Amino acid sequence: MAFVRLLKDIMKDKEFGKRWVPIIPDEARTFGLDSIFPTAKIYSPHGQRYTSVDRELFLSYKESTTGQILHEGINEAGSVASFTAAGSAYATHDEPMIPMYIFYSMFGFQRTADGLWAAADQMARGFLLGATAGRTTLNGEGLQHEDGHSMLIAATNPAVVAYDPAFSFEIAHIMEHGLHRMYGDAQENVFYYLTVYNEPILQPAEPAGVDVEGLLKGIYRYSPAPQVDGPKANVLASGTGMQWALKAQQLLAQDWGVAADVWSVTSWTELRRDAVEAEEYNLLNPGAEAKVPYIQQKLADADGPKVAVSDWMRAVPDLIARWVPGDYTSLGTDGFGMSDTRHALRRHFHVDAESIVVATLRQLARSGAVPATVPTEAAKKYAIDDVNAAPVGETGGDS
Amino acid sequence: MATERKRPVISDGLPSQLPDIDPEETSEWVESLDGVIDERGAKRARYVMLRLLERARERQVGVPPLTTTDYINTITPEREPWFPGDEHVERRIRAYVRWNAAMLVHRAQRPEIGVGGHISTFASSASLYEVGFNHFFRGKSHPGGGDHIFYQGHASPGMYARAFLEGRLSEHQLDGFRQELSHPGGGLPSYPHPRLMPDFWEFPTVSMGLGGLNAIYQARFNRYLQHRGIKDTSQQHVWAFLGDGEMDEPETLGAIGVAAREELDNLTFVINCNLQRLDGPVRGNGKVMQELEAFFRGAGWNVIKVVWGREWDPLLAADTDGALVNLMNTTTDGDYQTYKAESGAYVREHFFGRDPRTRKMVEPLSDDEIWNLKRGGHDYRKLYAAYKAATEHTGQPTVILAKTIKGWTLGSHFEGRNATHQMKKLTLEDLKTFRDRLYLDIPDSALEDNPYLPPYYNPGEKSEEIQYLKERREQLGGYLPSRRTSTKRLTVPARSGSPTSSAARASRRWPPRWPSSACSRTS
Repeated sequence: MAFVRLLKDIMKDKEFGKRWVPIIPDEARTFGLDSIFPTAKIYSPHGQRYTSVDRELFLSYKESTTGQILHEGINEAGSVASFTAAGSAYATHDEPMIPMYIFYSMFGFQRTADGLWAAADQMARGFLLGATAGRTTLNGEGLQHEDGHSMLIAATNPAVVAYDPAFSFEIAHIMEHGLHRMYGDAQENVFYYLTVYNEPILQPAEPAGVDVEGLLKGIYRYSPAPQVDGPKANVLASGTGMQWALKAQQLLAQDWGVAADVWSVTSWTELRRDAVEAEEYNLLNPGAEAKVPYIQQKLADADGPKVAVSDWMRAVPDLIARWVPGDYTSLGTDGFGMSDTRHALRRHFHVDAESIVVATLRQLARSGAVPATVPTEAAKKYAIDDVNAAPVGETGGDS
Repeated sequence: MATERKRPVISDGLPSQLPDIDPEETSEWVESLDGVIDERGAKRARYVMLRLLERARERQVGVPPLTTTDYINTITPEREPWFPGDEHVERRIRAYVRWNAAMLVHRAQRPEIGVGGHISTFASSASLYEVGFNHFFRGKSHPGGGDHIFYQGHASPGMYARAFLEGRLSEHQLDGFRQELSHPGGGLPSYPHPRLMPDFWEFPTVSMGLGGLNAIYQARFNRYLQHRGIKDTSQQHVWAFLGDGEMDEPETLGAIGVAAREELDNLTFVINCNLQRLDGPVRGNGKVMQELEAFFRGAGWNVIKVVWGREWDPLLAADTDGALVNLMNTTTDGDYQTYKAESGAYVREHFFGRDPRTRKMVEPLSDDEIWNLKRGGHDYRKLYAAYKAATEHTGQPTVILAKTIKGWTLGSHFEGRNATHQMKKLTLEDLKTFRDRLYLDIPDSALEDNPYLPPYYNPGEKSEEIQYLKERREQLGGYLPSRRTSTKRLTVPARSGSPTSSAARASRRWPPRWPSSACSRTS
């Protein structure tokens, strides 16, 4: 997992690194975090009074009284309590500490939202990592494990700044910015929720001149439309959904001559918050020049319909629906998860590339940009109602 | 810090299938026990057995610990330390705090405001806090760094009332209780909310169950900071004030094993056992203190029960045949609650009257004297002894189970009544009774003028009580509750290939890093 490499690196810094408090509820191996066991070590007031079975392995289970990792066992409630204690140490002890609590995303906000609400009251700061996010990405685990809505619950907590990044370079920018906001001069009483996925993907290099402001505010154009002389469209995607959007962009161009921009929506919830703040300002200042929400500014010149997709239920992209200019529709993973292959699940929920293509063509047909028969033709061509017709995708990743 | 380890990490226990290597000797032991029971009676046999168990532990013979003890104080009168305070003055302070706490809730019920509040929780726990404030809780300016205290959420009016006597809050501010938006100059939050009162409250506790859970992990995190060499927290104690009804939330009990395993002797739970939850008794048919004792002892905690006030000491000393202890052990919480809502005569008949020996024991006492046999959670000496023992105990966290009366001294409409948690205001008659009970110098006219707005009471800066209170807090490191608002900033290291540096962007590598200054030259 790309994130783990990032964490290992930042914990190496001598002064800053010691302030990190990794908190793990017995899922370190799932997330590849066992790689920090030997160096950071697991905190235990008793040290290690036994001979570890894996002592000869490179990644052995190492406990120490000076250990840095809080390994909580299968205990999300306790982990949140640790997060709260560590995240408020700047006030309770005058020692800023940076908790980094990584968990199965389904058992974070859904199980312990009340604890996180109290953490917000206590003005805890730090990072929550909802690993194994997405209703279809943690595919084999099924109904109780597949998280398609923690982002929605996160959105209910005013102290939570939530992101659903698509790439490692996005995570790096978001975390750096978060550190400045919480621990630098700003001293903001917020904490971050980042959702990450267990699906191995090729991490692209950061594009030259990437729109950092957009990335941090919640949306930027990641991939401009290919040179196709056809109707315009826009696909808005987050997290692992970005992979489907990029494939849909190709199919739209190759098979249908549609030129689609792909936008990375790093945060549906921050975009909504910004828009709501603008509305509040406009309500209180009816005579002043109206503030335009960031999402509206950003998409003002984006021609063609907008189709949103993610591994969340539709209500997540719909958080910004009121402010998206022009035609807007969303695809999502509404309903209970099930266990199957990722490609079958994504076909089932109709969030895969082929479904995005059909949804986009449908929007275009409605405005007359493509002939009315095209969407039907596409649906038939890709057999989007058949889970077995879905092209086989990536099957790796721990769970 | 627990430098010496008194307990093994693995809990004591006995395998159930030990071979009997000498059956003859075993039967001699069994016969001896039979002999004691037959000749000296069960009471004597019980004593001998308990003494043998105690002796076995002393000699380090592994026998499982008993999970409950008798329904009496864990600390005997002989082992009580000298109470270092001026009890009279401290009671006066308590009376003022209690009156003002009740008045700020009552006044918040005035017409057109009617925002409510809870009177009875603090009424039952005032003594628990007062002993702490006067003798134990260390403030932020204490050289050791100060204690971390989780106040029971529903007791918030008591903390505001004390801050009023300390001069930290004005009458005007008290009148803003639960009116955070509309009260001129700002109001006071309903409960402990750091976000809404950042220089006062440190821990939010009112979501039932989270206070205890967070206190455990706070104590553990304090140890973690110590062990990692980040801060010396060895003089910092964590106190959590919890309700007996609240202990039904799985969050708290579910985590007590962590506290025992990590030997958090920097942690004390004080459970206010007023035997009542919102709707009725916590364990009407049982005994919540005994149940909690078993849970905590089983988990490896040090348990201190504070059941009875000092008035009971002579009676228990006279209980040579164990009749009184037996009554105490076998009376349900539901009955205990009812006694306190009735009268001395009722207690004589329905409690002491159940056994001819105990009936005889209280013959010399008047009904009033019986009524005045108090519960331990209102007795300074008993509480002081418990707190002192808790803070001096090593190797284990401590839980103090303090028996109290919900709505204590608020009058017959409150004390022990099932609806007391919801009651927000007092009748004129209640006000007068309450004032008399607290011996406050408030004339009838002041209460009759406007029963919605009875006056607060402040004996004045120069009074002995206020001087005493301030002196105590100064000794202990400043006023509480209090939260630190100035914070250190961290220098966030620049990431190599930071987006602000276009030169660096060209040579970006994955993963990006926040290197130490020495490393940043590589970018």
